[in-house]
Amino acid sequence: MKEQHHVMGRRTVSHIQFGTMSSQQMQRLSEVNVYAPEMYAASNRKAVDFGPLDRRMGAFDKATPCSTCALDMRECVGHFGHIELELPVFHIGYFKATVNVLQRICKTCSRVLMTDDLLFTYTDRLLAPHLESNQRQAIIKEAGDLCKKTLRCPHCGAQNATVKKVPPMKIVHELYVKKHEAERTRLHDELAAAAEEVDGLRSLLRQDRAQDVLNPLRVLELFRNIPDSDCLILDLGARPESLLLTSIICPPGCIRPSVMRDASATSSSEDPISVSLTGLDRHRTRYASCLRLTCLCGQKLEKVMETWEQLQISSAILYNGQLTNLMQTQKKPIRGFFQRLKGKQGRFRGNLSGKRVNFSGRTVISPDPNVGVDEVCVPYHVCRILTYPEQVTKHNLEKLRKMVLNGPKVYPGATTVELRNGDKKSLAFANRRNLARNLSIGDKVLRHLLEGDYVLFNRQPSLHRMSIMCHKAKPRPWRTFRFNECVCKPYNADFDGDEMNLHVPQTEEARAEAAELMLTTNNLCTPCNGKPLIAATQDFITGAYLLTTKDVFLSRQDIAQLACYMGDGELLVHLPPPTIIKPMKLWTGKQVISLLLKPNKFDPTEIYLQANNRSYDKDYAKQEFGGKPTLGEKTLCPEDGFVLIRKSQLLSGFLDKGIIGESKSSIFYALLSSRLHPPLSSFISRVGILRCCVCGLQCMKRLSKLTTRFLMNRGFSIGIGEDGDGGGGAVRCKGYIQQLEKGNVECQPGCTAEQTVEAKIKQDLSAIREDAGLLCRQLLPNSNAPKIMAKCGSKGSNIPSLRLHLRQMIACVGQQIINGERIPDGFDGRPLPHFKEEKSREPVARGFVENSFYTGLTPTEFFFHTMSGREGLVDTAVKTAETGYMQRRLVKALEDLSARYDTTVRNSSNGIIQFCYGEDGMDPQFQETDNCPVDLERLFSVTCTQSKHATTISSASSASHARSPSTPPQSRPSWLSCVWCVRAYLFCVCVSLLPEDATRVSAQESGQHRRCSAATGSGALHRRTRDNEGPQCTAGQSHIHVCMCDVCVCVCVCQEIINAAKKISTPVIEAPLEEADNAAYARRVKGRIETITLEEVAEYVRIFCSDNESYVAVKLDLQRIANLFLEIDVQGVVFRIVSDRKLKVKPNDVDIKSASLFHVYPRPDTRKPSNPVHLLQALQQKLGTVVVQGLENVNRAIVNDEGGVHKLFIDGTNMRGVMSTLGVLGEKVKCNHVMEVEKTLGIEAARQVIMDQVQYVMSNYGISIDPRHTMLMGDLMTFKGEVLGITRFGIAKMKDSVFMLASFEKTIDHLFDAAMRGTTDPIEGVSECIIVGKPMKVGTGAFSLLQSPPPNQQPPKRRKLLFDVDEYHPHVRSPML
Amino acid sequence: MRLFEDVFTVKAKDPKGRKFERVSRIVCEAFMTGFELILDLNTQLYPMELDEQFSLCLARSLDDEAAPSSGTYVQNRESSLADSFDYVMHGTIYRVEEKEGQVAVYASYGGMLMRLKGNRSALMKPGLELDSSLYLLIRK
Repeated sequence: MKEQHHVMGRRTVSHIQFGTMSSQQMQRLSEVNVYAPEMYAASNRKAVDFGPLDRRMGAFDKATPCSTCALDMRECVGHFGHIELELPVFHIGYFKATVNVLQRICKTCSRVLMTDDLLFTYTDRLLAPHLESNQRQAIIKEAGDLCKKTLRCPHCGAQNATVKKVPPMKIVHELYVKKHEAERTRLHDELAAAAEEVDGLRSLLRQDRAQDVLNPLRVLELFRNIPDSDCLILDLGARPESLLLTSIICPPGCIRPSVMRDASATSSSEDPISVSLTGLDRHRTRYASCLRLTCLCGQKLEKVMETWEQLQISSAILYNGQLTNLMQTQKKPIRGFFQRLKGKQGRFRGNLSGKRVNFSGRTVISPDPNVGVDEVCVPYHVCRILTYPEQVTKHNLEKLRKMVLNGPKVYPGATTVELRNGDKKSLAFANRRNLARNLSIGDKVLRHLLEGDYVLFNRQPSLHRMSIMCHKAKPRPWRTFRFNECVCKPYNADFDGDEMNLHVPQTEEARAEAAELMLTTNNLCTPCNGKPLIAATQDFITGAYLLTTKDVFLSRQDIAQLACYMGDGELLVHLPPPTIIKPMKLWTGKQVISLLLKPNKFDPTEIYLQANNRSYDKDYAKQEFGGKPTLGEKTLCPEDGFVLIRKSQLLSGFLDKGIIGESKSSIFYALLSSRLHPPLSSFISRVGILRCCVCGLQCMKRLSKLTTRFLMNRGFSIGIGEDGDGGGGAVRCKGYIQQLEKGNVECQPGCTAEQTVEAKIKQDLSAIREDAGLLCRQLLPNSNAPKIMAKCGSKGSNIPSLRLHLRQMIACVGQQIINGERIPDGFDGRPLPHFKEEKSREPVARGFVENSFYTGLTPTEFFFHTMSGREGLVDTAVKTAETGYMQRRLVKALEDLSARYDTTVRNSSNGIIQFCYGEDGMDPQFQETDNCPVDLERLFSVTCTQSKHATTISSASSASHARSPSTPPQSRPSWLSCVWCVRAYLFCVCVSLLPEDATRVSAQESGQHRRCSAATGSGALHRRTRDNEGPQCTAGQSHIHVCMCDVCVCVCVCQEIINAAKKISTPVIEAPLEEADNAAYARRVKGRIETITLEEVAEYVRIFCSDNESYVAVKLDLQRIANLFLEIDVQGVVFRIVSDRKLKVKPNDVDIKSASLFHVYPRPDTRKPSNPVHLLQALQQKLGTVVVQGLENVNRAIVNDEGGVHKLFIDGTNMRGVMSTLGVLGEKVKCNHVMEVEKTLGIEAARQVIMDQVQYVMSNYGISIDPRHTMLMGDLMTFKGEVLGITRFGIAKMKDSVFMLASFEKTIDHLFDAAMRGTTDPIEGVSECIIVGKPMKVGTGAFSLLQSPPPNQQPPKRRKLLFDVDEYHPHVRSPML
Repeated sequence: MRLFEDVFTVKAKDPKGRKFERVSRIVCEAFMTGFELILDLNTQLYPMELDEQFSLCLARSLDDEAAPSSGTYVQNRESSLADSFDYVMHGTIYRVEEKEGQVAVYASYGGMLMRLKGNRSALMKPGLELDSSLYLLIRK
């Protein structure tokens, strides 16, 4: 029996406790007191005893072993040493914490600056059970702020003042400043005598330069006196004195090995840490001697202080080697402890989160259409190195014996044999013959990779789940990994030199997991929105298209040849009867496809498909037959645009991207979701799409073989001849352009409103482009290669009316765009000096390229083309970086979320994010339509077409649909025969209606929706932007090509949402109105919302001066007010003026003269007498800017008339104000600003806004994302009760794990915080588990045995199986073979 | 077994323009029954011009008595019916629709489509139902 796989052995890390280390603990741990400042003795080049390289700390090089444990460099784990300091120094990592503690305690009596009562309350609050870390931090912060404000100690009554850091590393208590007069005078009195003696002391005192310096010694003393009871409120896990260094621990040798520069070991280069330790020792010795001299001989105290400071700095540099401002002597930053830990290459991200592995390979990839979609060709060379430990059993004994005999060099061989007793024998050296003979059951043979072994295949960047998938290995010659092009999409791979990685799982368990969860077969659909991701691409589509046009007729030889292509001649093929029997026997291309779907009578495949392809002419059926076209009428599309597959027979329509590509209407998707025969047997398993995918995969494999081979024989290439269009088109396009130019020149003189003209020109130019595109489509012959590619969608523009690439090659390249505008001015009033200024507005001068790539670009056109090309490049570069970071943050935030068995989505510490994943518990990967797990319409139509009683079913089901489902349809003679169809259909309806059922079904199937679901959302997010490079626009991006700048907006907006930014670039409030059909009403409401200053509604604001009085007169422009539908009168304005705080106008300063006129009298400032003219002028200015009506934070409001329904769009953030405005339907106001909504409406509304906004942004760019992903993101950002952005601050509030946060950002800060607080990391989340090397609790690790098997138990005895008797197993011959 | 026979006149050829080089769509009207026929023909092999007349026969099989075709290609079939025609195709009926009292039978001959529209009594009969295989025979 195979031993159970113990992943971790017996011991696992259960939790990690952080803490500070006291001096005593260091000494206890230490093997040696390091005090010698030299590394090597000059005499014998040996490490100095008690020096930083003392061998008691472990082996530093290969030559000398460790003198503590006597092991050599490879074995010794290392031992610590320590440096004892005469006087304490600050610890750079806890420096901030030290200052914080000092700010909170009395600098005289060491008690917390808080009365005992208060202290008790706070302590009580902190000790409350189930306190979340966020709440805890809030309490501590509150207490801290209170302490900082308290200046007189409630315990001893001493004066306290602010405590400040002073560079380089000093802490100053600002006691002797003006604020604390008593202390200041006391100091002055004290120093009065000294000031007489010492020069300059007096002037220093006068300048208030006297400071109370809290040196480490004083701080240590203060800290020692803090009572234990006060430590809790200071947020300390241990005694505070350990925040200061009295000893410094020396790390063991193995982390700072010396590297010998030459063999004779005369010189070596040392690790920076050893170097700075030496420096530290040197400073320590110097200052120890200083100290001694001062004590004994009365040396000046300055010297001690100086050396003390130096020691302080050198100890700081040991930790943080990049304190360049502190390093006077050596300017070059070194790699201290901090630098070793942080950053991408640091210990956390570089070594702990991402570990190096064995049994992996990497090489260049190349395409191979002859390989199945779930296979990968592995070079023999790689197969010989990557091995799998196969356990010897009765069944494979002979096979493994042969392999052992072959040895490591001959394929298929083996490299090592692991005997049952644990001995390992390398076959390169051992006696292979002997080993092979003695091979017995239970041994393990590390054999070469064989055909069919499961391997993991990966391409960086691994952005989503499908970036690493499982393939079956296929050992083949040569040096590259080869796989089917259909699988390029999930890896985002191409073959221009890309390299990919291959990993071999090493246990049966791992192989099983890989095969069940990660096999390409099980990942055909993206979890982003359930569309198939692995599907035919490029040449496959072209080939399929060329084969299925109506023009293709094949002789018997031809079709037989093609039939052999698809199955390598090994497939049993039943040739259908020829389509044309007379005058000669001919088959059609469509019959080949039917053959491909169902090659022989025994094949169980039965698929039904009805779909439009890209060329489907929607208008045709309408014009021709009127009304809603029936299915038959649709098939008659003259373009052959309606694909109908019945009983696996392609009856009409040609294949193109939509039919065999990545869409839900593709053949492969139909194959996935249709069951094998009998077609309607069980609906439970229909959600279990995966089981049926074998069929689809075989079809895909056949298709890729068939189409490439067909295309190879037919020939498909592109030459310069293809770019010309025979003349007609280009000339006609030129005609268009010239025509427009004439028109354009005419409209130029009247360019008063430049923007209007610009918009008009743009519009016309894009019209040209579209015309040109259409022309290309019409004029080119069907045999034109680019046209073929554009038509079937294998390459080139997706939007049929544009035909971008065709048009650019043949007709004209079109307008070049920078920043969404035409080319801007580069010179004085023109983009290039080639154009005259007065003509700078013409299309040619603004980057319109009227030539095609075929005719060639003029120099200026070429220049413009490069300009916009460069913009694209820069954009992509910037976006990759930005989205990469966004992805990292998202993944860090979402990594430990998982759906549990109780349907909730929780994080690793069991905090609930969602009660039910996506509110229905369905897996987005298996959704057939956007809002229903089963595509009922298609299912129904398929059910109908499959049944002979189609009409009966439809009437019966519609009847039952109309009434209640339980009412039995009327009895008919044929009813019984079709009842099962109807019932099946109704069952489907039920499944979709009853959430419990559906959940159960889907839960059974998809089990656990892991964090991947969310991570893929972000992956998709990422890919969206990445794909948008230049001409290779994918679906939905080609229109962005027209206005590139919007893409940046997209990323920006996404970032704003995810960051939960306080200020967003375009806050918009959408306000529906009470009287929606009334335009005037809308204008009135607009007037209430928009801010209007006095200037805007005043006829004048003037200063009047006469002999006895001077005032500012304001006259309102009543006409204007009425025109603008404003509700402003004098009283209102005066009220606003009076209530304006900045203005300081009192009610009796204003004199209302009439309904439109009032005077404001200036009020002379009593304290600061000033010129009355200035006063008047200031008043006049200020009055103009007084807001007389409208809301704060509103820039402007726009009335939007949408088919008679008026709405207001408000550019601003005052949602509350808008909601409470008269005339606005307050309950229907929407806003895109998450934080504003949270403030106004609360957290649930904010969640909704996050979801809506993300979905909106995505849909704007043609990316569909399953709503469950956005829902999860919304929930994650709001589940703590406040909106947390997915930034380092937000994530720090979401998660408590120190390791997780340390591996994300601010490594050092988090580690020191944890140490200071004495945090315990329970090692639950994904990051932490990876760091300590423990299986994580998501996915297949989510469950485990409650009782583990007792150790060293004998395997149970083999029991005889009940049916394992030969007579029960007659040899069955499959009919297929 | 003959299912339908009539003489048709070509009323239009490629009404929406010529889309394919070898295949043309003809719209015809039956001489006797007045049925409407839309048919894709390999005109390279069997040219058909406007206003031409041809007689068309739909049959379940080419041998008068034998069972309908099995769906796979059989060589050396001795046929009798095809001998008297110039152009013979084999296909499947994929749709039978009833609209405004008229029945339209849709058949696909390896992607070349046919629609025969006429009155119910002539077209709703065994052999012309869904999924049955069909031979189309033409002579001028």
